[in-house]
Amino acid sequence: MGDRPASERWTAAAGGLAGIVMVGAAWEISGRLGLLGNRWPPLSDIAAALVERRDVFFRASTATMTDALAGWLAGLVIGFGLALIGHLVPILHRPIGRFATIVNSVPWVALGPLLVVAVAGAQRLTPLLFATLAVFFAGFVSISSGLRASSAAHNDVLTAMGAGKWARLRRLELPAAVPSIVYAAKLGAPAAMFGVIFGEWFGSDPPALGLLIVTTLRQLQTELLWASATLTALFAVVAFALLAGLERATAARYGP
Amino acid sequence: MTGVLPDPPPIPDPRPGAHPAISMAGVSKRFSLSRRQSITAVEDIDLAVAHGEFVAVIGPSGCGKSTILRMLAGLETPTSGTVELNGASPAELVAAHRLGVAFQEHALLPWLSAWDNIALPFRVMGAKPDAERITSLIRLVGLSGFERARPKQLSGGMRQRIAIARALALEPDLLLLDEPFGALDAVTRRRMNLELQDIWAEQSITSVLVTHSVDEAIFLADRIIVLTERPGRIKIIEDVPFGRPRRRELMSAADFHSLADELTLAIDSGEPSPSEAGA
Repeated sequence: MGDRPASERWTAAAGGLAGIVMVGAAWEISGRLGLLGNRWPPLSDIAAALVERRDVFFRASTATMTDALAGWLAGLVIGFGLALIGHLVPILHRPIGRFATIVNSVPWVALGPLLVVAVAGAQRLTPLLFATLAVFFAGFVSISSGLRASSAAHNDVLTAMGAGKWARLRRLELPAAVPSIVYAAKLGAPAAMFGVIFGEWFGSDPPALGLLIVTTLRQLQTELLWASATLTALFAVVAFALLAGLERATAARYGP
Repeated sequence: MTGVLPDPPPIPDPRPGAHPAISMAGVSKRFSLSRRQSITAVEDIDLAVAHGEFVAVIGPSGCGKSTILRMLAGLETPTSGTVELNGASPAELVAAHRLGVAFQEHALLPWLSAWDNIALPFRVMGAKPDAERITSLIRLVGLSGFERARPKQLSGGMRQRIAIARALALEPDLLLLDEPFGALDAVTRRRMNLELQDIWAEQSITSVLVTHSVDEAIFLADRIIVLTERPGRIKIIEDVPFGRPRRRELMSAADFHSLADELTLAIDSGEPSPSEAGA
């Protein structure tokens, strides 16, 4: 995995880059020729819109990314905490799992307005709450199984060493769960972006990317709409790619 | 054997009033496979091991050798009979961190270096690792210079040496070895036998070795327990007559080979019950 020869890695990177360039070129040409209708602007127009309104996009991105990051962290911490409690107190494992499943299956479309109406000041927190909600469940499921991932042979050795619950947790189960935590973090990055954008549809102040998407859609500002959406997707992809790199590094260290 | 009363434990402890290092009395272990089916792994094991003695357990595949070891390590509880280590239960010895184990699967933690793997027993006990002790163990198993290497970066033989060093880290009262060299090639295995014999000659820890290899058992042990096919019962207890320290040349000696032949035959032939007397 990590020990492929450098030449091979460069070839793969060059291939990926070529793919992106080709998609970009196809986008540009089809946009210029209007092949996909007049709601499909060429890439250069989107880039121009991004540059022209950079102050708006900068503020919107900052607001969105702050909430996404906070919600991502909160979701991971809650997912990890629930998994840990369920692991350490086995009789709570099932009830916690059921609770998490129920919370996870509440329809967001119903939950959003409810939050805004029911909780004073919730509008400010809605994006963050949805990001948290989007991240915690996958985190809980992944980390729960990660904490049980240590092998029978390792557990036997720890038992014969006279390890108690805490020593086993600290020396074996938590390190063995590291790959699952990183995996949860990776899956959580695009999920947090999605949650934030969804939450921002109910309003945000200052106008964040999700709100920009809704308003530019209503005002038929096609270039700005595309610019907001592209930026959002870009952030999600970059965060995912960075965490995928971290995942490979931890797999090399913590894997068998 | 023919008396009306059961025999007293066969090996009297040399120290008056002391308990034997290991005493197993009437130990049987049954595993249930399903609601109605169960298999008996070992049956009616009576065994006493003196302090500082090295005992090897051999027998045909699936005869319950490892089950005996797992009961000594407190990883399984006997279905009937009692297991005592130095007069106490295995759980007590384990809780006191006085047991060292090495299994066929080296079971080193992949995220720790060689040094940290050997330090693990200290940390599990909540003690600061004794750097001097760990360094000397690394030297003892011939891995100086590999302190920072991870298990993945080392050969199978090196990993087993680390596993043995880890088992020795806390100077245990009892060392349990379950096929520690089973996954190694013949040449490495023989070299590891020589090394373990040297290590053991220095420390004389009460040890139980489970192995498939008759040569390994003879070379390392003071006494060899031969088990029958499943359910495993003690078939023969053989004293190994060779003095210590034992040298490589011993493995080529004629009386070494005749003992090996005798034990191999004992493993191979079925239970000498009346119906099979001619076998």
